[in-house]
Amino acid sequence: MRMRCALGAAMLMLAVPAVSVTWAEEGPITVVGWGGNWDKAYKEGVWDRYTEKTGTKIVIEEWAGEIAKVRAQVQSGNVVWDLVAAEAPSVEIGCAEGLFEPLPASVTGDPASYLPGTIHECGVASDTWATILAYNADRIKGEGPKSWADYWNVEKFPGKRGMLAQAQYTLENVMMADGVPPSEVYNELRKPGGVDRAFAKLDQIRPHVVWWNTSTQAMQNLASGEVVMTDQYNARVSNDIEKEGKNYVIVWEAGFFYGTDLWALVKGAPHREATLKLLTWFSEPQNQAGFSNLYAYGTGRKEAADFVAKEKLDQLPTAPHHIKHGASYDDAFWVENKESLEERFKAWLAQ
Amino acid sequence: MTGTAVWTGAPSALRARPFARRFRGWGYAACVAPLVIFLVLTFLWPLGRFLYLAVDNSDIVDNLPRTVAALATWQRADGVPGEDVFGALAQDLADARSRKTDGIVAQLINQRLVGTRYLILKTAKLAEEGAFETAPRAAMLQHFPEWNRVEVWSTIADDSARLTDFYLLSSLDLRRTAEGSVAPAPAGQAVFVQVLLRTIWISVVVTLVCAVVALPVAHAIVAVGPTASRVLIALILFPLWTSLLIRTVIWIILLQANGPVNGGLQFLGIIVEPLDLIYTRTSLYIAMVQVLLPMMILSIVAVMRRTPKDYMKAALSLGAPWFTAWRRVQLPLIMPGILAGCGIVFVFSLGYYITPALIGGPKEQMISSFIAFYTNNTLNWGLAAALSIQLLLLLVLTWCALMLGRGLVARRSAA
Amino acid sequence: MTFRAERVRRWAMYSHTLLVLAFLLLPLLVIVPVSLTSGNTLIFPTPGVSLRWYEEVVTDPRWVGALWNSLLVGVSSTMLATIMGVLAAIGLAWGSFPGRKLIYAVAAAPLVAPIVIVGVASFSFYATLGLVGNRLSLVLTHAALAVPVVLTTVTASLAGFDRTLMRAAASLGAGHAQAVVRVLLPLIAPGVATGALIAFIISFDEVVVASFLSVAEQRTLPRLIFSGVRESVSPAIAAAAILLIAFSACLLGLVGWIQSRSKRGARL
Repeated sequence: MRMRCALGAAMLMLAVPAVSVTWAEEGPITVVGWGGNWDKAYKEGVWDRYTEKTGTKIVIEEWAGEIAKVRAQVQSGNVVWDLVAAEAPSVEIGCAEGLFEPLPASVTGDPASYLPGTIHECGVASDTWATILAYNADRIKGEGPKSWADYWNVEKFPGKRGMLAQAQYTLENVMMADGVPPSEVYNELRKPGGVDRAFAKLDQIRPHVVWWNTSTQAMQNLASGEVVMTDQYNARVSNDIEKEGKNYVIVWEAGFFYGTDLWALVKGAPHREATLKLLTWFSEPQNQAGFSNLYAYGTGRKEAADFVAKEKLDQLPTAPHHIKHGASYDDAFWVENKESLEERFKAWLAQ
Repeated sequence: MTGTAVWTGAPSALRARPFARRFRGWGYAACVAPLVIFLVLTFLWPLGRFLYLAVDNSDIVDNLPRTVAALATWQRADGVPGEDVFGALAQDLADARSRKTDGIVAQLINQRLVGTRYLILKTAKLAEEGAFETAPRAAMLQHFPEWNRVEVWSTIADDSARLTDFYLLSSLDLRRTAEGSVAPAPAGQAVFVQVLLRTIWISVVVTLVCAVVALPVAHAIVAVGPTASRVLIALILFPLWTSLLIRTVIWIILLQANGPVNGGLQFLGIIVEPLDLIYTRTSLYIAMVQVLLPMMILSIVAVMRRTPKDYMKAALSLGAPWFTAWRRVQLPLIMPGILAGCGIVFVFSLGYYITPALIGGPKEQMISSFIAFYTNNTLNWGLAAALSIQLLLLLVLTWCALMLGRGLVARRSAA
Repeated sequence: MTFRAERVRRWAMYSHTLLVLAFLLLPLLVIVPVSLTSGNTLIFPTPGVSLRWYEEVVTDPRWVGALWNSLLVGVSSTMLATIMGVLAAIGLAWGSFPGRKLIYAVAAAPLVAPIVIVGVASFSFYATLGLVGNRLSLVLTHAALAVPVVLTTVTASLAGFDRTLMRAAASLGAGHAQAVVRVLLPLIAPGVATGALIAFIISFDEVVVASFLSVAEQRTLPRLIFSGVRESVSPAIAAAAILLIAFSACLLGLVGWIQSRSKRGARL
């Protein structure tokens, strides 16, 4: 019996190390992006060129912006990510908590040479994007929706609407539908009863909504005719119009909000020095432009525009004829309210 | 290999029996030990630790020890506290920041009083830089006038106990008022009781449908010859060998707007526009029944095989109508199998996550999906743990009800 | 009169059974043509027939990597669960120490605990250890989920094992370890093999715990399918599903073969 157990214990010991071998330490820089076409554009337009030039390998992972995952890595001292593309409120929180490292000007260049909101103590813009209203012109013939109020108008524009199943990026559109101009949306939301007003407006559209969690879902629904219009990130729609010849229309004049994601260096990153070198290279305007040339999102450096093709510049949320209809997401509002509003939104959805 | 033989040196025939007897107790226990230790370390301990988070408040108490102590005698009516409390908080936050736990403190306090996250984080940052070392009260108030709000202080003071009922109450749509009494949550935000009832309802419907559909199939399996019966069982077992995820994915493919079901119906000219088949309650029921039905059939068959067929024949030969005979004679005999099947199906249904997440709309989400949401999206471990406790209690209650039901059936059939 | 009613009843019963079988099995077949589409989407009827999606699944590094991860995690957790399960089954069946009922209950717990709770609890536990994203955490949790099955199948085959055989072996001069290897293991081997196969399938099919514990590069096959479905249901997923079903069918056949062999052996 003792023998049998000893044998078992020995086999146990053989089995455990066999699986506990980790593949981390030595290796390429790990950058964490938003997946799909976004990562593809970054890979082709930016990372591959860097690898070609320096020989430094870059591994791409994807996430959904969960700052908790970074916190878990930093607190446990087991950091596997080097560089993450995080939404501005997350960079704000992560920077305040010390999850991201401050970037010196020697890496990012002169902060004054950046567009407003695209440079942060702990980050440099990866992309400036917008959530816009888009419709399928094959389904809505003739005059299409012109405003978020039209989005709510199911008599005039029959058919289902796609909507992002979360509070952040959605409540702004709801307030615009309720007649609030973009510049006033956060003032109204901050007023007592402002959020209630948004949820009351949401109640009206609810039966006509097909909810989406990933932009791919939303674009599929738009393509299949499951929805006739949807909210969406602008480059997703531009991409499908251009690459797949879809007959979609982006209604910039309905009003939109834009935000900036930033590349942030994780504290304790396994390849800190290599990542700083990569960021220094990325800060060159012509290197940033590699992304905008493939995907209709802006980057940080003002001069980057000089290296982006004209027809691409016209698709950016920050193009002059677009930006006059838009306003910037309020990071401070979402830092404070994100969790409580997401929980309330989830509760509302499930009711 | 024969180490024991060398040690004892005795002929093996003499050795065998005492050997077995000697190790009957603890030798065998030693064989079981790896499993027990393993399960405790990788299953029971993580589980218990996680469930404890539902009442755990130590993140606040451990990170703000001086503040909690300084606020011990403070009352809401006292207004904004004095120098000592401000000093204690500045020190605590500076320490928390150097331990990188200020983010958690800020998150927990923001959970209870929305709009305080920045305040805590920025105060912690300045505190670590030493901005509040002299005259902390005046300095903090000057930098951050929000510290003038009494609610911020009372929120911290209310959370100075090691244990909290905040999450357990929240999971029942209840909360504590400023006066300390329990009150229902505002209607727009109350959702968990509804989700709990929905979880039970979906499970009940799935269980009943499974039971009704399974009964004739079980009858058929028992009625046919042994070979046919074996084939039938194998066919019914086969889906069980396909993963739950795959079977759910299959239903998504089948039911989607341009999937085979809609395509077929359109091809046959029955419908023009595709039907909304997916992301509905019906699609959830269909998928869940398909996944769980085999278990129900097998439980009933297992019992049915053991019941004598003569009783039913006797009742029929005595002239009883078939259904009466079935209900009065056959049903009580197979009741233990039905009950066991219902128990299994119900318990599995309660914990469903993948299928509702993929094939249901927002109104089809069950408790499990909320547990995952609070873990993944808002990192509200406390609420996720409180909901888990709710779900586990439901399972225990179901099990008790099942035992009770079995006892009743047994007593009735004995009588 | 009763004869006719009886016939109607039988007819109804068998046709109902056929319908149920169709409901259980046909969906598994219907996706075969879907996976053979030559188009980019799952639109039905399909525009043409091709094997391109199968080709993608077996050549795309994401799918191949995920398959490799699944196999690695599956084999490791099966080894762990089988060794512990067999040892414990022997100890529980033959030993007579106190607390055995409790141990059975504890060992059955992973089987009934809602999988989301297991996933979240493991995530919270391994996060503090810094092991999230390490395959080890997934292996350990999968082993815990599979242990009850191994324990059950081995206990069942031990119940049919005549312990005097061990004594007979000893009386013929076999050492104890030798008796275990030569007598006990061959006789309970079918039970061990069945348990190990089911343990492997449990790990190979498991998605919820994997979705909490694995990050991108350690994604298992079900995890990849899960995130793929949330993104978009491509024909590649249908192809992967078919391959997995075929794989399960092979393993099921293997288990059936082992069991029929062991039955025949017992009869001899």
